[in-house]
Formats: sequence, structure tokens, C-alpha cells
Amino acid sequence: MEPQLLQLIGSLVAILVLAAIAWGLGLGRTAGIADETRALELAREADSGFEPASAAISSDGAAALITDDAGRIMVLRRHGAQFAARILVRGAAASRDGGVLTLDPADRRFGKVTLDLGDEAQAWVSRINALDRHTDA
Amino acid sequence: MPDFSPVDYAVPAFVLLVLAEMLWARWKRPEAYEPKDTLVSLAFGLGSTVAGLLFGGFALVVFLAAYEVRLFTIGWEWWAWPLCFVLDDLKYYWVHRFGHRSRWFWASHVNHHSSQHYNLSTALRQTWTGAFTLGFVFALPLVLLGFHPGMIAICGGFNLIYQFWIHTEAIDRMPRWFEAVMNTPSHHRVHHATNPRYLDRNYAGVFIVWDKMFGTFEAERPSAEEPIRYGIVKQLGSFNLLWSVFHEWVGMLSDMWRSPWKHKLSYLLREPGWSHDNSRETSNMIRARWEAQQGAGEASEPVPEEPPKNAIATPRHAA
Repeated sequence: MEPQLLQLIGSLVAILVLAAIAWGLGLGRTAGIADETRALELAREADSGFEPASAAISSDGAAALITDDAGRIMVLRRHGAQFAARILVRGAAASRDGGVLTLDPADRRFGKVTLDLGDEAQAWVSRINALDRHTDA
Repeated sequence: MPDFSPVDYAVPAFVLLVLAEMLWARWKRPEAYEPKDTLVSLAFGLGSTVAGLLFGGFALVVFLAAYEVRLFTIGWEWWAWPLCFVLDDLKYYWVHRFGHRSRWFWASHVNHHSSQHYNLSTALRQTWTGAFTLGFVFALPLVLLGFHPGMIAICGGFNLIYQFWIHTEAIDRMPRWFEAVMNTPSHHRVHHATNPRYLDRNYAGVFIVWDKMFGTFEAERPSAEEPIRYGIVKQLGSFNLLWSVFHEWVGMLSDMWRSPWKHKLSYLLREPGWSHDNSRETSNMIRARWEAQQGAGEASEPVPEEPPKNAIATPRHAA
């Protein structure tokens, strides 16, 4: 076998071992979104131009929907040990199964987000699906 | 060309130091590492090595051709080494600055910034597509001056090795004299931050004096005062390796394809976040808005808020 190919395979094994060690050490743990204050703080950090007003947090603390005074909606979801956010744009769509809301933020790579919002789910579905109408207006 | 790459010899030390930092994280800051993020960063490093083997030949051919028409013959004199190292670091400052200020270069360099973590594995998160930005052109003046391409490559290798250890949160501050002259973990944390204050600051490789000289230096504030957030302004939100590698190229080419003819080149050459319809924000715009907010806060006077041009969609791509 070519030495360079051997080196490549060895390197590949090494990086898998290192990632496994990180996993084995229990690294990457993070607290969920505990309350609205934390959700608003994360939203501000995600976009300094977004001045959050209110938030709805999924019961598992892994995601949240946040609004600002301009009527924009931000979705925030756990990404590894951190959080990633998107301000919803035209094309974003939401559906509901009981109290569980499934959001498609029209960003395939960001992916769908599921939030258990209980009684608030229907109101958020309506609000998100109304974004298209507001944008077209 | 000398068959010597200092980085090859440093790799075992890189691995051991990553392991040591993981142990530090285990006890002190478990959130400093994330296994999937680490895997992506290390895969970037491996892929970058392969890309260098595949595409690095073109730059070498250009360097050797340029060396044939050099102004002076410096050779391999002992004094040429420190001089070459310092000038190569100055070159690094400028190629790095272009890496943040031109979207063409940013499409490649964003790879190094797309992790939301800042640890030693982030240092290995190197681009696969550097050869497509012609960044090597910045080294041509050194070749034309008479520095041998092999000497420049070796100095560049040591430069890269130096930059490895500064990608950590485990070290707070180095001695004052060291912080004044050298790039340090503190200075480079600022560079990787997405806080508006820190955007596009501290481009240095080894010597922080270049940033002080060219007006791009920003000192790190105490974390209790302003905690740093790492990554890019619009976080990827994905651990997909190929998307991580190519997302900005896809975005840039898509913008060029969709934009009117007279703006196509601007999407290639102007700063990340620039848009012909002003629907996005560059790092300068983000910082200006933030500074205005800070000023308004300090003056305790309400400032009329300008409504966004598009209340629903204001994507931001600067970092």
C-alpha cells in the first residue's frame, strides 16, 4: 500500500478516536433553555439587530420561538453544545399535532424544528403561517 | 525544493495537546468541546492536507517561475530566516485580512470560523478550497525579492504551528510584554468572536503588532463584562461536513447567478454581507448599528428606530 494512503487511513482512524474520546469524556453537555429570560438572551446573542420581546419555549428546553416588536419571528434550536437561530422568512411553514409544533424554516440545511408548546402551539402555527401573507402585502 | 515540512513533525504534538485540552475541559468546562464539532474540525484538517497535495502544485510552479526573475539572490543565509519569517507573517496578515474582506477569499476562509467552539481542534479546521482564491499571490513579492520558495514554505509552516496553541480558552492572558508583541489566545479569541465589537479584528498570525500598526487591533474585554460568542454571524446550524466546506461558495455563486449583471463582480469581490439591494449587513454595518445602540444607551435618550427594509427577512452573512 502507498505510504500516503496509509498515512491517510491512519489519520482518519486518529480523528475518529479523538472524537470518540470527546464523547466518552462526556464533553458537549449543555443546559437547555430554562426560561424566557435565557431565550431572549440567546436571541440577542444570535442576532444583535434583533431586539427580542417575548418567547415560547419547548417543554424539553431544546428550542424556542421568539418575537420582536417589528413582528419578526426567530427560531432558536440546540446545535450540539450551542444554539443556532434563524429569523423566519417567506416560505417558512408550521403545522401542529396536538401541542407539538413542527416548523420548516425554509432553510433545508438548518432543518425542521419540533417544539412542544402545549396550548400555545396553535397560536404560533397561525402566526408563522401568516408570515407569507405579511411579506406579500 | 527542500523535502521538509515542519507541520508533519508537529502533528503528534497537536494530537497530544488536543487530548490534554479535552481533559482540562472534562474538569473545567465540558461545553468547550462537542464531539460532532470536534469530528468536523478534524475532518477539515485531514481534508485540507489532501487538498494541499492535490492543488498545491500550481502555486509551487508559479513560485519557481517567479524565482527565476528575482531581484536579488538571498539564498539560504542564516540571517535570511528570521527576516523571511517576519515578512511572511506580514504577508499572512494581509492575506488573512483579505480573507475576511473579500467574499471570494471568505468563501474559503469561513471554514476556519464556522465552529461555535474555540479549542485546539478549531485550529485544525483548515480550508479545502484555498487554492481557488489565489491567496498564494500575496507571497509573490517575497519570491521576487529573492527569498527561496522553500524557505517561505518552511517559515509558513512554523507560522501555522505557532497559531495552533492560541486556539484555546484554557489560557487567559500571557505576560504583559508577550501580549504586547505576540498573537496570543486572548487576541485570537477576539478574532473568532461574533460580538459586534470584535468583528473583523486581530488578523495577526504570529505578531500582533501588525494589527496595532494597521488599525485593526481590539483588546479582549473581561469575560464577565462581555462574554465571547464564537462562530459566524449566521451560524451554520449543521454538522454536515460537505455543507460546512462549500456553503459560502454555494451562497456566493448563487448570488452572482441571480443578481443583475452590473453587480455580479461585486458579489465576488466585495465584503461578505454586501448586497446590491442593501438587504443584508456587512460587519461594518453591524458594528455601526451596535455602536449607535451603545451610544443611545449611554445617552439614555430614545433613538427613533429605523424599520428594516424587509421586516421579515434580513439575512446577515458577515463574520
